[in-house]
Amino acid sequence: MSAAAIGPSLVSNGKEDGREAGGEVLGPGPVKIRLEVDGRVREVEVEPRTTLSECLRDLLGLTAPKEACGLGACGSCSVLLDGKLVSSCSVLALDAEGGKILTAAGLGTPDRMHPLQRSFVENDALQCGFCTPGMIVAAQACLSRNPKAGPEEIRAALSGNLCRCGTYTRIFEAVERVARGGR
Amino acid sequence: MRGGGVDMEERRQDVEIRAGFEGHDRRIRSRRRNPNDAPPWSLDTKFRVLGRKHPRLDGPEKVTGTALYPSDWRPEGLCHAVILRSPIPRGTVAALDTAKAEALSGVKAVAIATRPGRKIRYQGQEICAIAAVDRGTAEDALALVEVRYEKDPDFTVLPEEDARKEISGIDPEPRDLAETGDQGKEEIELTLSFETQVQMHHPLEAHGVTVRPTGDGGLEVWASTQGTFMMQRSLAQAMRLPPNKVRVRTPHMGGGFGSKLTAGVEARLCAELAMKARAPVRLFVDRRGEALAVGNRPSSLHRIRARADRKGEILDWEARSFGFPGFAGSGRVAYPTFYRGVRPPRHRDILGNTGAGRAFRAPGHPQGFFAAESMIDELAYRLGFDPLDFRKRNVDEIYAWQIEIGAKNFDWKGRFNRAPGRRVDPDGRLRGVGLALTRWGGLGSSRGRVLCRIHPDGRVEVRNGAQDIGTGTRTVLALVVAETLGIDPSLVRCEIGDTRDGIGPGSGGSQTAATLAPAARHAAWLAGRELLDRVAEEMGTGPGKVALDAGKVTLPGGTALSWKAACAKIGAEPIEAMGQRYRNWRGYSRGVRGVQFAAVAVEPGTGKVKVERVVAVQDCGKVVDRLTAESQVIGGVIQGIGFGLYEERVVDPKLGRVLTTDFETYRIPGALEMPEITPILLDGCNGHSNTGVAGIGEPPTIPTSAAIANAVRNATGVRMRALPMTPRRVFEALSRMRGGVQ
Repeated sequence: MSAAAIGPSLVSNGKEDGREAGGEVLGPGPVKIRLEVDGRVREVEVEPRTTLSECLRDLLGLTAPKEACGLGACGSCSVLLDGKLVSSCSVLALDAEGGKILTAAGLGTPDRMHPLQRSFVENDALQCGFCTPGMIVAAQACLSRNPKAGPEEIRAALSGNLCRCGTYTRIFEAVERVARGGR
Repeated sequence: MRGGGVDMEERRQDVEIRAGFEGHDRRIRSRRRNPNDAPPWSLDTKFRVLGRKHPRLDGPEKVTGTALYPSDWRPEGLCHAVILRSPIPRGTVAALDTAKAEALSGVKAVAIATRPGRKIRYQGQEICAIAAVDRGTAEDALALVEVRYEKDPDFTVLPEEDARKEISGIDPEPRDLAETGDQGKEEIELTLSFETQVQMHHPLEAHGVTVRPTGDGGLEVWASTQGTFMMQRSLAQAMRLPPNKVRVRTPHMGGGFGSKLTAGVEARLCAELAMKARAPVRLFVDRRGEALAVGNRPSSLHRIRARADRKGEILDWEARSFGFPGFAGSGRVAYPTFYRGVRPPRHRDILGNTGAGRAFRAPGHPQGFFAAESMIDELAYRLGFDPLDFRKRNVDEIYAWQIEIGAKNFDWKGRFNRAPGRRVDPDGRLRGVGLALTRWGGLGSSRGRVLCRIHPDGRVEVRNGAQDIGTGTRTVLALVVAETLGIDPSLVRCEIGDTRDGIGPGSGGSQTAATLAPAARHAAWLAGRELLDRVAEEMGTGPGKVALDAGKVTLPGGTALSWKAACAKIGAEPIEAMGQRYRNWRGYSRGVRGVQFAAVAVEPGTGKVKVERVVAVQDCGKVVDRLTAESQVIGGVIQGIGFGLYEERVVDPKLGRVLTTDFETYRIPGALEMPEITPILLDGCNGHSNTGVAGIGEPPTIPTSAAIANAVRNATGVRMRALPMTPRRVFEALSRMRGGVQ
């Protein structure tokens, strides 16, 4: 299955649906998948119902994508899947098979931060920090589409990510600074 | 003029310091100061580190996703637990059978929260929890639990309706139109009612813990909590363990806003599951559970009757209020009684069958301030006053000064709409401005001990067991220590969030920095004195002849040792000092003040309100880190915007069920709703402790919704009496006014 098939998966949508659609029926029982996560190839066995966020957090031990709503409504679990911004809680791990996943941890490390990350720190674009890795991934998706994105474009790009501490205005500043080429 | 450093001067108990703000200062005599404490900072202290903008120390870990939150911790052999919740708001658990669930392969333990025969008091009440090898299996097992409920049809989920009846006779549909029709009268009397909604905390990291049984019969608990020591105590109590057998760890946590102060049912269930399963268990509440069972800001109802005269004096003020905290908790409200003439309301709580209220960022204040600040504003309009001038007549000079600072930055005079409801801008919108004041205590308690170690290589270590809820506790402690020792903050490492370290407060009441900063200063000061002693001994000079200033140890004869060179003389073991938090003495003010200005644009055709700008003036005693303190002000404003315009828990009165259990139906403010927000922090020194630091977490969220409502009044002529000011509410109010004018 290609990673491009994001969205409702015929295969893992339940047995009846699968049959009706003539798809292959998987599970219950683990299925082996391969993912490239932050540049490292990982093989992992997942139940067909396992979400990508569960796979990354529970099975692969990642801490950058957080889970806050479980319904794709807050953006905390955002990752780039083959360059596309997704809520990993709303993608099945199976549907990401063979895909390349980038999380905030893949962008940079505390000692070698990505310019966006450095700008977040310098502008204090975080408080509790729980939404931050998702925000950074969303901001990265925006700037990779348009490195010189303007304020309106940045706001729109971040509108799927919630921050409960209320840090938005500083997040905009942090991203705008990178887009303007300064920090 | 002394710096913030350390010297070997004799300890003096009775120190007189200058406190307050430049231009608004007073001399404070601190006779009640503990003689063992470090000398207090004052307005005359020359700060090198404090008051500037410092990026938070744990920022790099947080932005790279490497900071380990309690919900991230995955010890070997971890089981996952989920909670079964009551679907009914009131009744009894008639029968409960978990046998089939327990028999499911992969299930490790079951814990019962509501046994058969026990009462159900709200939808979402915990029935039982199941731990299994993974979340999916636990959820499968939950579906196998057989529960029979005896429903009690006599439930109340909207007690507001009863209370409304009680005061409706006195408050017939008030006039929404209200141009300043009463202008010119000597005196006016006004009665208005106000309502606020239930607001949910919704921290992004859910409530929960991961519990690992330790070999010695104790528990290691990674808790998403605002009070590591409160969690330790309440969990130990629930599990009948001595507190030292429960180790709570919270190196980071993802928000709480008041709802995570003690161990909730979920923590107790998780501890029980872990003990039964003899394995680590992780139990974090799902988003639906967050909307049902872990607290809220209770709704409120107010009726205020007030009299004021043409001189701008509030002659009489009589208020009644109701709070609706659900099945338990407090719905009390607070009024801005610092206004001359404003008195607290006579209050009553009415319980109902919904989730219990909990402390929520400035409990009771946004509710009460919305009502009272709206009332004060309306009195001003009806008397023909500029609401800013009216306020200035009824507050003390510090408030008047702060109002002026804000007004200037905001351009109040230029933006004030002198024809509310009649001035339509070229884009079809009505624009207006409003303001409201805030007040909070937050001077800190004596519940804090901070450890400071100076290592021979010059590194400094600071430790305390309390948590950081996003306010920057780690950074605050490190900066205070750096200031006291006169060294670069990069030399200081701060570890927090482990109950094995010194005691600290729960992060409630804006107390954390105000409580711990003095203990950190004391610790660093003690350690610094010890360092001087050792250097003096090494160098053969008399004690009292060396001093620590600007990161250098100065010796008699004008020579100086660098920090590193001085630390090299410590010997093999680090210097270690435990700083105490002595009791506050009477400082400059008993709390903090602030004022917020809001500018709004209202679409008359839809009733949609857009906040365009907020200026927030706020004091908080001595500012430790201007960057993180400003972030808290911005955050308070944004949560206030949510309370004012968007957030509302909706309950179906017939089914008794909450309808807003996710972020699609419960709207917290997002990127597109943001105005320009300007925080103006007034750096001072409150002079009540050795640092003069006061709280800032809560005060900036108090006045925002009132300032927005007052701006809507200025834009449209309509007094909004209920929150949130949704397009529908505003549109209906505008329609009523149009009807009334015709």
